[in-house]
Amino acid sequence: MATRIADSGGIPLVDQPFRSNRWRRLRRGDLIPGLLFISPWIVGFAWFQLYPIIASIRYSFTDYNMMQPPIWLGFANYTRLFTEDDLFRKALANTAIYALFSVPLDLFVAFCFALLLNLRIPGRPIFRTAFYFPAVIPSVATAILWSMLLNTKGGLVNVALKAVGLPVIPWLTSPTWTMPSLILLSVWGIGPIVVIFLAGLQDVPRELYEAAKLDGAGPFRLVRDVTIPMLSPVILFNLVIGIIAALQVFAQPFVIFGGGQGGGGGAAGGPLNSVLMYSVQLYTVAFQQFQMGYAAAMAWILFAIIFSLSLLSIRFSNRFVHYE
Amino acid sequence: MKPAQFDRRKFLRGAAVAGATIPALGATLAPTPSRRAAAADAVSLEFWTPADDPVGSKIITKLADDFNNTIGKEKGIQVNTRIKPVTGNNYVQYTTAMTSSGSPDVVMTYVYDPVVAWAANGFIQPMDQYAKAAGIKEEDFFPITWDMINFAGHTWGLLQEFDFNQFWWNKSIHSGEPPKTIDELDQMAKEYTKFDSDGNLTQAGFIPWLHWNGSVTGWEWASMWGGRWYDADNRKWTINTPENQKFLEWFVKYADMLGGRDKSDAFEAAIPKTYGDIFQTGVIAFAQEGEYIPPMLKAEELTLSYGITQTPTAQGVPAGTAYTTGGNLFLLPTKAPHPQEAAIFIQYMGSGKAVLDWCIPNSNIPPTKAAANDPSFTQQLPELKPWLDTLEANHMVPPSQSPQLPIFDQEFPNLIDEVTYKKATPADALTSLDAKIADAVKRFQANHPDWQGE
Amino acid sequence: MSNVVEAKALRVQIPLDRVAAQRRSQMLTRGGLVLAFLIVVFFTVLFVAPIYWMVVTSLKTTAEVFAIPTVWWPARLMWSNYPDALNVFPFITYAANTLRIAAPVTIGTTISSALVAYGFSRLRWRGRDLVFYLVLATLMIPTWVTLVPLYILFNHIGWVNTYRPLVVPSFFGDPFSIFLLRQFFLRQPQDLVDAARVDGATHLRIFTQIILPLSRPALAVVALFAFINSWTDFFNPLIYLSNPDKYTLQLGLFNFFSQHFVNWPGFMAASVVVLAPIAVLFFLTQRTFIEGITFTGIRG
Repeated sequence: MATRIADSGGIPLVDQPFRSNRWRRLRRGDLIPGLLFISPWIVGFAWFQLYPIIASIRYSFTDYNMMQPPIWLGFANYTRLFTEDDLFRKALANTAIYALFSVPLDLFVAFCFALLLNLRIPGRPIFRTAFYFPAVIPSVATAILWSMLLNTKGGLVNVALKAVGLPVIPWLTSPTWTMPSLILLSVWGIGPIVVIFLAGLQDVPRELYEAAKLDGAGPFRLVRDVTIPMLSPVILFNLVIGIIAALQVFAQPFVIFGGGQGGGGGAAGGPLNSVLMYSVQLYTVAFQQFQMGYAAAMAWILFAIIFSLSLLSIRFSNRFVHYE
Repeated sequence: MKPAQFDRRKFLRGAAVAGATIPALGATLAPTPSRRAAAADAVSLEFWTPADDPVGSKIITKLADDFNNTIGKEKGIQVNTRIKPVTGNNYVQYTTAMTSSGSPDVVMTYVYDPVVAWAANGFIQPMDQYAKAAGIKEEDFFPITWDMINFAGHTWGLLQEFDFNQFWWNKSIHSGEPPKTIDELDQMAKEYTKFDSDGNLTQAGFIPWLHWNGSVTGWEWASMWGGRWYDADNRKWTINTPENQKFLEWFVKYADMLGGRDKSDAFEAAIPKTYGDIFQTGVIAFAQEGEYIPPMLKAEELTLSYGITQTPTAQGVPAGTAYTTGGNLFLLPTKAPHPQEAAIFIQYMGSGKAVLDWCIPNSNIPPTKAAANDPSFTQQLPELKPWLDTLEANHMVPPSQSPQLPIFDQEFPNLIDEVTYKKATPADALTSLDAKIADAVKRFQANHPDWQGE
Repeated sequence: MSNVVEAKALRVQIPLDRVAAQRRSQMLTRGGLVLAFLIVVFFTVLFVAPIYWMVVTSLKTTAEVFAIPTVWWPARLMWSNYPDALNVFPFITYAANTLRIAAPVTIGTTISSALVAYGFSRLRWRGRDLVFYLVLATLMIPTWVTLVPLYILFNHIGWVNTYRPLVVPSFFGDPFSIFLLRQFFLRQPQDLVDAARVDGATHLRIFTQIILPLSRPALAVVALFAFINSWTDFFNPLIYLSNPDKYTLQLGLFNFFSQHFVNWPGFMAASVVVLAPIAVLFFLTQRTFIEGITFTGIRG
């Protein structure tokens, strides 16, 4: 059903077929207005971003400690990453697992909550605020909170588990549980995704629901046949942003598993490096070990991964995403 | 609404500069001329400090003000104190600023960790000539503090205070004499370790890796076994040694005693993470804690019953062995616009008066003999006697002064995890870490031929 | 099913004010609503736990913060933590500074991102999507490796220790907001744009009179996120500001962390005061992007 609707009126993202000769005439001048409209970004990019980007690409082929002139190494940083660095591999694998589970989970949960919070239930503004708020609490505060809620002795979560006869779980201290905990904790930050979904739900035309209802569709069919197709551009947005954010996850693991208060200098990798994340490792290499060239190589590998995954999602979703 | 700080003329000028810069990509940007002095004649110094808490910030600001009103007035130096907060060891905002011509003139750190890497990578400059001119002498310092600021053939700054741990016991669990040797400690710890019916810890005698989760406890306890990770005299890493292996085997023994690393970690997570309040819950008999704890306990009006003594050592290792974790350091960035004036201010911050002004209210250890023996210090902080005794014994172990320390610091907690979770034997873990550090040394030396030692 | 497609085809012919009135759909029965309400309440409790904990901690003594078993409600409420906390740093000055950054950032981000998003959605030109991928790509570069060159750049043009590095870039489009608005603009009826074009409307007019009013929910989200991100940002002010007179609220919160000790009650009390405006703002504005969108003047 979704594809049928999309096929009937959907326009592919990459290029859109012009519908008539009249259109073609109107379109001829669109390059200039197009560039004019995007000119703020072009100026900002050239001014603030181009130099740092090119500089960091160059660093990735050098030994560079940020103070002394970079020493050219060719591809040595890249080969060292792939052949010698077990922490790099560990961080890459951990981050991949985190993204693989947290992105779909967060998207699904946020979508469900957006639907629920779009219903006319009493106290709706309060509920919406409550769902959004965890996203703005300082990460140091949340780290302490979770270590209190999740600890094995008197932690609320384990007290609840015990009450229903389940075993107590060492959420943040056992290498087997740190990753599931981090994935579950990501749900707690879905506020912005819910808000974006809610905004998207506002312009789904009611007559589409009415029409579907005339066909005898129940709530689940309505969601499947109307809401999801009509919301598909927003779903795609949240998916791509979710991939970008998950693969660069930094603050939560960094603060929860060390790195914050206290000494010792080590990276925030959790027990047995079980939640050593890519961006955390990158930060450590760059700003604690002063290997900026090596960190830049890591950054560009991560970039290539995120970019190809995002592009894949966009291309793949063209078949499903419905634009007016 | 037009943002007030959006100055159009400067904006356009900025655009022109950026436009001119972009074609020259990759080339290092030319430095701008150094800052203009604020007052007509006085040189304006930018001094960055992480002391942002109410106590620390007041002391540092007052010291700088005092300087401005005395030596500063005399020599035409005006210090602007900039409180730049840090969390843990993350001095990223300092590092970033020090790369540019907007570098601060003087930088203070709370910890030792970034100092050697900054020195080795050229972020801070040697202060040899200034130290000599100012008459800074080795005999004024304790050997350990002299070693901390002098390494790789240069003087790198001045200390205002430094920290190390002593052995504390909880008198509500252990009422007798404290253990003197590691064997005694092991016996007592075993006796006080208790489990519930599910096999979970309810009370621990001693958790050697408590709080620091690796690095500091690893350095500290290896030295109680006579082990050194880094030989400061010969500037060499000494990782794969029999003493270090003994130390790791001892950690494994405690992992077993505590019912496994997972049990002890779960237990540890359920006790407070801040420093000094481990006795509050009354579930640990022994712990290593720093000199800054006693006044905190007093301030919180906790009625605790504890004793403090020197850390137990293995056979053949002298009593009074201790490992220092760092201290307040004052450093001179390489790109400081006014190095000469900065050196004068640094000298002042390391002088006797400034040291006591900081150490007494904060309960820290002075780096100079005169300040540590000053009656005002010993009278106001009698509970620090064990620390002064330990200093007197002169078996302190300095932190590593290798540029590879940050790499070691990342690998080391993981090594301890692998050994105590029994994923690797102590011998294998040491061999593998030894190889990794040797690689890092090789890579560093290839591009820094001037740096002394490993 | 064919009804769905037909209704969509008919949609442009339906007067838009009627569409507005019908925006809100009611998909569930009364029983379903009650169930939904209960589910929402259950999860809200989970999501509210941290807020509760923040507020309760702000009213505890330091000893109570880490007491085991956890103190869920302190024996004596320490209201004095609030005035104490607000005396630790110059609260009013820092709040004014934060607002001086957040207000222009909100305006700059919203206007510039909307313009750019229009260029990426409602105009068709060669290479458009390629450039758009470049915009997206800038979101994917880890900030740690561009931090030092960017700082050197800002220092070179004399912007360090001013608000400009925090404010000026927002006037040149924020990739996240551009992407978000693009996706929403693409959902607006193309036929409206086409019809306006045939009538001779300029792009600027289509943009301001058709697309923007129709996208009010998304614009509100972008503005709100821009404000909140700027208000809660601590890293960029930390890097670029060094004169305490210019500090922001988030930097003020650092005053509760000393080398070996954290004043948790003070930190939490200050955090509550710093974050309360955000909660109020969100509560007040959520109607804009979630309810009542009016379509005045779009046919003009």
